[in-house]
Amino acid sequence: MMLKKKTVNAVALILGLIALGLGVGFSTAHYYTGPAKEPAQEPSIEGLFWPNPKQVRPFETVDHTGERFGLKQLEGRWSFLFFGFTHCPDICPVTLSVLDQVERELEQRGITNTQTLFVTVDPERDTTRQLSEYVGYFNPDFIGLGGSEEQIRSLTGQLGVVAARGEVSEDGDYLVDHSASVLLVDPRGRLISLFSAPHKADEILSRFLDIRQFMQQQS
Amino acid sequence: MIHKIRKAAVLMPILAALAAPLSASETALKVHDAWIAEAPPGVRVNAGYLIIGNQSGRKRVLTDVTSPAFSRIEMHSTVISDDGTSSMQRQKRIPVPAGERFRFSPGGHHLMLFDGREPIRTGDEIPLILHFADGITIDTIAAVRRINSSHEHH
Repeated sequence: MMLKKKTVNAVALILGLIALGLGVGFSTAHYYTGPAKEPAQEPSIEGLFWPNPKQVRPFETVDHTGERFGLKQLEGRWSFLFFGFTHCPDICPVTLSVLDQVERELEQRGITNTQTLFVTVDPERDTTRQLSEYVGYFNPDFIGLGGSEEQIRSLTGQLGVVAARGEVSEDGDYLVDHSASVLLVDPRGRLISLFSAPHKADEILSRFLDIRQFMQQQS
Repeated sequence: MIHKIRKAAVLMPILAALAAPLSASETALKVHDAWIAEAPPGVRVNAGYLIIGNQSGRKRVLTDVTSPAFSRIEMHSTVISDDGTSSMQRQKRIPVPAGERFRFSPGGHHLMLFDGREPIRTGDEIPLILHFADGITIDTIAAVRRINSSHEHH
């Protein structure tokens, strides 16, 4: 099949460059300290951005029911954020089914103040209706976030999420390269951790429980 | 299905290596656990997975996969770069060394199946034809199921 090589969407590229800069910030924020004693001062939890988590700034997106979704909707609960697009055949369904398992495990443990957000990086195709059908397929409680390109950027830009459209085929199909990490935002709207792919439900679950416990000790 | 086993092939590895093209059974190529992930609503592309076992005495190279149920199938791998970005890289050739297995699995190598001729749903069985470099073809059947199949009773 002939593929027409299209230049990468300039906006996405700029976004990617900004994100790269932020990505460096991420990696330097990782903590790999020894096992903590007593009420932990220095966490031994992999990938925990502590003591300087990034405060998420106000943003405005639209959820899959058409309601506004901004910083306020992150507050009061733990949020798992994953960025992708509905026409992504492999990594997105895999990750969403892992997050579905995590949510169900948490529910069984009586932990219900969590939410999973699927943020599209392909607003052109991922309309509100498309997102609604898509996220509900994986878990009826999942929230899909979309809106205009600018609205999505108000969230992805500050979180360092990379997205760039790839080659467009003759029939108009295209793929989007995107960050495969799952981000964790705490109930105070702070980016607290990042889970790198490949994702495994038990690993995300146990690290989340460790982080949650650690944060409870801090307050 | 069309994939039949002939015992003679096991006794004749040298002949098998010299003669080409051959049928799948004579080259001891096995395909198993083929399945296709049901596409979520509104999505027109499916992902497929399978395992190839190469018990022949020589490397075999998968070059194409076709199906009467899809207009186009590509082989891809999901690659996660150091900065955490995932991208899909098209693979034109999948070498399977002698005596080894090659696994298409979620989050790694996968088939991308475009434009299903009709919607496929969990429980459907889809024929796939694997084409190897030396003219060998293998037919298999892929079962369609949800990627998170434990969710069905919800």
